[in-house]
Amino acid sequence: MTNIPIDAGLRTSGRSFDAWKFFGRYGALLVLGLMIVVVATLEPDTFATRDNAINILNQSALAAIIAMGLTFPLVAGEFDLSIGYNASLAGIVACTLMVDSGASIPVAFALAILGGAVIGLVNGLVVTGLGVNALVATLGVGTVVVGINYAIAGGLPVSVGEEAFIDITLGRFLGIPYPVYMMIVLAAILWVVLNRTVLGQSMQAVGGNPVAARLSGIRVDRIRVIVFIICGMCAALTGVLLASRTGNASVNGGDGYLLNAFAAAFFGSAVLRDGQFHIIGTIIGVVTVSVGFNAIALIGLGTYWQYLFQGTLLILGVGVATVARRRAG
Amino acid sequence: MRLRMIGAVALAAASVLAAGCGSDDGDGESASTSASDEKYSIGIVGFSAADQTSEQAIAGIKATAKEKGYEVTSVDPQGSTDKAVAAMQDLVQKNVDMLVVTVFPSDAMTAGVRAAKAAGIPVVSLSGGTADGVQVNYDAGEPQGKMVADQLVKDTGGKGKLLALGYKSGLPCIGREKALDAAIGATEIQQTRNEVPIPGQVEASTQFTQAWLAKNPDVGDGLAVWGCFDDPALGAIAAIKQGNREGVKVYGVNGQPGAVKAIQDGDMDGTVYLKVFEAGQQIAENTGKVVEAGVDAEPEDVPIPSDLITPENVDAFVEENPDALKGL
Repeated sequence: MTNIPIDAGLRTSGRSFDAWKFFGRYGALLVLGLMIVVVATLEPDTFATRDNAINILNQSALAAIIAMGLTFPLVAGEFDLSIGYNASLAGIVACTLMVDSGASIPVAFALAILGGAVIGLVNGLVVTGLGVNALVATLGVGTVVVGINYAIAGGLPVSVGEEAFIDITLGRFLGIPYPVYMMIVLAAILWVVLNRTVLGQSMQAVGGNPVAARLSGIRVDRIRVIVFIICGMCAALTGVLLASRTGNASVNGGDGYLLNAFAAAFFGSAVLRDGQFHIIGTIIGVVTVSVGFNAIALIGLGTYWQYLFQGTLLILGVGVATVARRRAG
Repeated sequence: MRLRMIGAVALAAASVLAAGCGSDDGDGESASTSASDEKYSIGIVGFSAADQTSEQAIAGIKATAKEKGYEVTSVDPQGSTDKAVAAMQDLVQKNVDMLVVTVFPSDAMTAGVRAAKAAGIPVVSLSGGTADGVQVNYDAGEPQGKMVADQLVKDTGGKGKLLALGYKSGLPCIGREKALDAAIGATEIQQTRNEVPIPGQVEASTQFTQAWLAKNPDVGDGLAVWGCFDDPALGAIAAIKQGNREGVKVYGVNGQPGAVKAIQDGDMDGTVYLKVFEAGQQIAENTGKVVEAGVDAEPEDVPIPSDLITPENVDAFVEENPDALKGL
């Protein structure tokens, strides 16, 4: 490279390229770091503490699990709008099994997550078998899930007073709540699946170019079904953990995760990589939103700042990265 | 405060730089002055900024807290249980003296309530019920439901057909429906019930009412619609107007401005006006008492002050409470 003469303009362009590329990849991380520094300065006694750091990670855990699951369909170029409803149903199913049928906690957990897998399977089959667009298919399946949810619970919340169930999310090991460990272990597993297995490479190939993937011998439809199943299972796990955290499952308890999970995944796509969805990015997206929510609560900012923050975070996080990539070349 | 303002501006700058957040305490969420001996800090977990009733209660807390020089921090969990629990945990980190949680059922806030109890912070609920760790509940369910249900039975003479638009996921609605069932249990009223979704409560109520009216084309004065809060009642009014039906009685609860106006206009027959601003003021007023009683205090239910509004007293009521139409 050093032997090739280049003019000054290209030199400038080269420097500019590096700056944009750096900003595109690390800008979101810089924002997170800057937020932490600013809030730590504002609230040194409450924000910059070990307890609050654990608190933020704990708050991020459930959202991270559902968002990591969502990352799989997004990697494969699909959408899943049923995740929030799926999470709500899983909580209701698990709690109803325990309260009405006397099921043990592991059985209730397993059946609820199996239910999530079935919902994912149905999503995948509707998309691949019937050829329905994923947005429409998952919206339709999600609406059916709401109906099932009401059919099971009749709209009533289901309370579980069993301490062992509540301790799944409230218990701690070495001072750190269990959900944080669950998030980390699941992140490691999903990262390996997505980045170090043939299955994960196939998912990325399908998301990159489904036609080329098919011509390369990848069974595209099967991959699509699998990503929906993984997503459904993660959503269901989140729903059951939410029921444990609140001691209660409500018919719409998990619905709010839908937009937050999408926001985190899209924000995460702007972290470290050039617009690709990935597990680490999604976690950073979730943590960034949690840090913002925590900061707003601790500083005591007005309600409207929450919406301004979340919207601005998503638009600028993804927008700046997009511009940076375009400018970079 | 100045440090906070400077920091807030820096936070805003972070937002503009590359996807950050922002800034000052805008509407005075953190109000700190000096007035009385004890200065408390109150943490409020709202329900949703779009929910008029809980926002009025929060405004009442802030108003009295400001007079007393208490610091108030409020968080909007946007209707999400998980965010509400997170907000409680954040406010525990902030080490407030008392927590106020609005609308969310107390038994669905386990993680937050336990964190508060462990930190020795008493919790007051607005309509969420008492629980272990929630010492005081301002009730907006059964007492208010009884007021409007009794009026409904009186107006209908205990006869005819009733469409009940309920919401079983909300504790106040459960209490109100219980009162309705008790009131009509001994009458000849035939009830049809529909569960109202939130969000989408007004539109769904319109659709339920349209279908119910279509099934009951000629009953005339023998029809009544009951909403467990005012939005479903307002949705029903839309259906009644679209169907050009007359004589159908409509009832709600909460006394939101649209409902009060509907009673003035002759479209609605009753609602219960919750004096939630007053309840909020009481909550702030009693902060010292609640803090002193601590987390092991005996649970207590306090009815939210309420007025029944009917076509007969609506004008006098509005004259006395001009704010009841605020926002229209």
